[in-house]
Amino acid sequence: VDHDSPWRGFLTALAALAGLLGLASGTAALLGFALGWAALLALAAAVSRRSLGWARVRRRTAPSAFEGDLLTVDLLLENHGHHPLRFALVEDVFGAGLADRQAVLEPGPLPPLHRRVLSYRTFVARQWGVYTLGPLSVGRHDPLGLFLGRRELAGLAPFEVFPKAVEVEALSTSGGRSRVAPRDVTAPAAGQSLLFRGVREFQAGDDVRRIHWPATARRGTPMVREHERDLQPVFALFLDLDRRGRAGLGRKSTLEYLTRVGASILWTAHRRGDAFALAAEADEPLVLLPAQGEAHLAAALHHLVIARQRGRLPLLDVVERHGDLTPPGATAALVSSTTEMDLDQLERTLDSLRATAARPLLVVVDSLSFPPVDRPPTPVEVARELRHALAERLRSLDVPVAILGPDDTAEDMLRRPDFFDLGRELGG
Amino acid sequence: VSALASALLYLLSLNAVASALLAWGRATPLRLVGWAVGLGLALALGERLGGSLATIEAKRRSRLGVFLGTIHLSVLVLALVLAAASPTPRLLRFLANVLCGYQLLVLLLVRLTPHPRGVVGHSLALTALASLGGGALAAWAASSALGLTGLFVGLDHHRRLLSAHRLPDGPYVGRALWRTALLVLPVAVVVGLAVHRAAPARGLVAPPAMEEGFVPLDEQPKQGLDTRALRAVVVTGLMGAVAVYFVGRWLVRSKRGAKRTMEAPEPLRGEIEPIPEERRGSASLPEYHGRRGRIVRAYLNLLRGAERAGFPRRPDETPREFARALEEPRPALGAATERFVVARYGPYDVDEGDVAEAESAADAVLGHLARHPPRRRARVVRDVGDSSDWR
Repeated sequence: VDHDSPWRGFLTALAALAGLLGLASGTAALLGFALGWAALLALAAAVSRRSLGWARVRRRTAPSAFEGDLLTVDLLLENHGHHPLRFALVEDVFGAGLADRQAVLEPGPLPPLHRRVLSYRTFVARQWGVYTLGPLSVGRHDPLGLFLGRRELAGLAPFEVFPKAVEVEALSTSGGRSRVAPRDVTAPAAGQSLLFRGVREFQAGDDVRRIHWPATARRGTPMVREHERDLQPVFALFLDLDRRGRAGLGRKSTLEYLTRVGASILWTAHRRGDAFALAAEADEPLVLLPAQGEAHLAAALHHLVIARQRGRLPLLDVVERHGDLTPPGATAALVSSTTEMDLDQLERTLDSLRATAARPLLVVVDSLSFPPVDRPPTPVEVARELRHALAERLRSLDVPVAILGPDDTAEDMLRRPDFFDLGRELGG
Repeated sequence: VSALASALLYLLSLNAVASALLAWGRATPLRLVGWAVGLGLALALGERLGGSLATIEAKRRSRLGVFLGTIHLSVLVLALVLAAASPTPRLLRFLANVLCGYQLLVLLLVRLTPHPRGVVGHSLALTALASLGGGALAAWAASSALGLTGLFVGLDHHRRLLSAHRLPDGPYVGRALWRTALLVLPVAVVVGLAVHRAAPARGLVAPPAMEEGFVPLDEQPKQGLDTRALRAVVVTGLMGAVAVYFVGRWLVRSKRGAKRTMEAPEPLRGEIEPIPEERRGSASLPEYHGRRGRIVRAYLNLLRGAERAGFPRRPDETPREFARALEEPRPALGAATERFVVARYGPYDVDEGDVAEAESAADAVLGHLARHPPRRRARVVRDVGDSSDWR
């Protein structure tokens, strides 16, 4: 909405001309017209500045969205004053949109001590990252629309844009759930599932929230509830945030590819109903224990979009350090930022994962084929050699692998049903 | 609102043409009625032509508008300077006739640009031409032009505002007109009266026209004709405006069934509902009764005045901190603050003397702020919501 009046400058110029002409010719009417317009301008400015102090605005929206989502933002306008509110203009700044300023109009009358929800819809047009919502402001034009009096409120809030997640079709055959016929999802052993198993005596370290008060009263000693162990399939994502994997810039950077691949893998696991975990080592360790649900997905994606490649621990060491995230039957997705891996260590890591009945798979972003940023470029032959050697080794181990380069579009590749066969073909 | 704005544009044009003709041209009632009809037809054609002009690319239209506008403005300024510098009857009559004719063309191109600046500018030029004559007609021309222009600008603003937010303008016509009229008409009336009082007689009187030749006495224009012509133009103008309004409404309604573009979503507005009690307490203006209430209200008025002057109280500021920050006028500010603190937080009742002292102190502070505006203070942003889902 354009707040600049098309008439203010134009009519002021004409009135000034009229005033000049009136002065030159001694015409009172022209002078009167110019002065009248000046008075109107002053009155309009004064009216527009009349306080909207009793108007309050609050915002309600999701704190995050995926790239390209259509989002509805609700603005709650409240009139706490003693007079009806008319032609109130509520403005918001949506940093993740293409047109960041959004305005909604309440023509009124909004009676005293009443409120109304006004909404606007906007596309999340920016790339993944953290943006700002707000500040909110409420204002009103003077009756001629020459001035806009505006009062800025707070309402500053972060808004996270997650990478556009695509469903990785190739994972449908390698997930934890589809490997066996329908089975029990819990085991008759103490765990964290919702299935009640029984009560036992309180032991040091037990969560006090689990105390079963009726049993405690009956027995005269603290008793706690026990639940069965959860056997939901677990999907663990190990992300390589080693600083040595940094390469490329902007949309053609290894961080971009890592984030997009990671988001899509987590999204696919979430859609399939798996409990999923995330482990990475940047400045500090990042570990999200296996869990399910939208809130958990949002937490995982949040960590993905704020993650930076500042770590010093190679991916294989990360897997070793957080091996407890892959219980029996889990799928472990290793997303590496480089093909420069110790192949023997890789083999040992994959073997150890398999030894716990976990199923490994590997997605490699070939940083050597991206434009280097903090080291000399690697000869093409060497990069190709490393890629082939890695693919060959993984093929021999029968581990699904996909290798992405700067010429690949992450989303397109992830959608392909033969996503993990491409890497193996490279090795063959 | 659109139809009403068109009617006002028509009235503005007709008023300007009639004023110029009455001042300098040969204005008979019949001729003025002819102009009224002609201007109405030109505006209607111009509105209809708007659809065809809309097919031209906006950038090209804008360029054409700027080009024609520049020429138009130059011609008008030249004409007015000529008229003011060397006013001869022939020149003034010539200019009045030419510019009145030109008004028809300007109305035909009313929708060439998004805002009909050409029509308004040309009408004001005709008004200026009429004003050069001075007298009651000039006062009328200036005040009516100011009033009609203001009304048109106000309605145009409301039309644009409602249309930008995709709200139907029908329910808001009355309110828009009332708001605008309340601001504009008093100023216009004051201007008219002031101009008439300042220069009641005709100022710039053209010298007798020797070149006009002999005109028989019974054919010479009579003074009474002006009144009849003015009456005719007012009646015809009002009738024409009503006609333009209804034609405009008909045009708007005939387009109502047209398909909208896919990109025009409906406005999303919920129902009006009362604010829950628990939300009212913190933000509503509390009701204060009795003498304490009068002191509190006086202090709140003081705060509002300070805010208007650019010195808002910060949310975390106590009354005494605020008084220290504002500094001047120290005695009155101190008295108002202390009376407020006692009335608002003190255990003892206050008497009429306290109320009078608080009110006079608050008035003194407001008077001082009006005479000596304080340094502007940045507004501190407040957290607007405490609910977790409303951010």
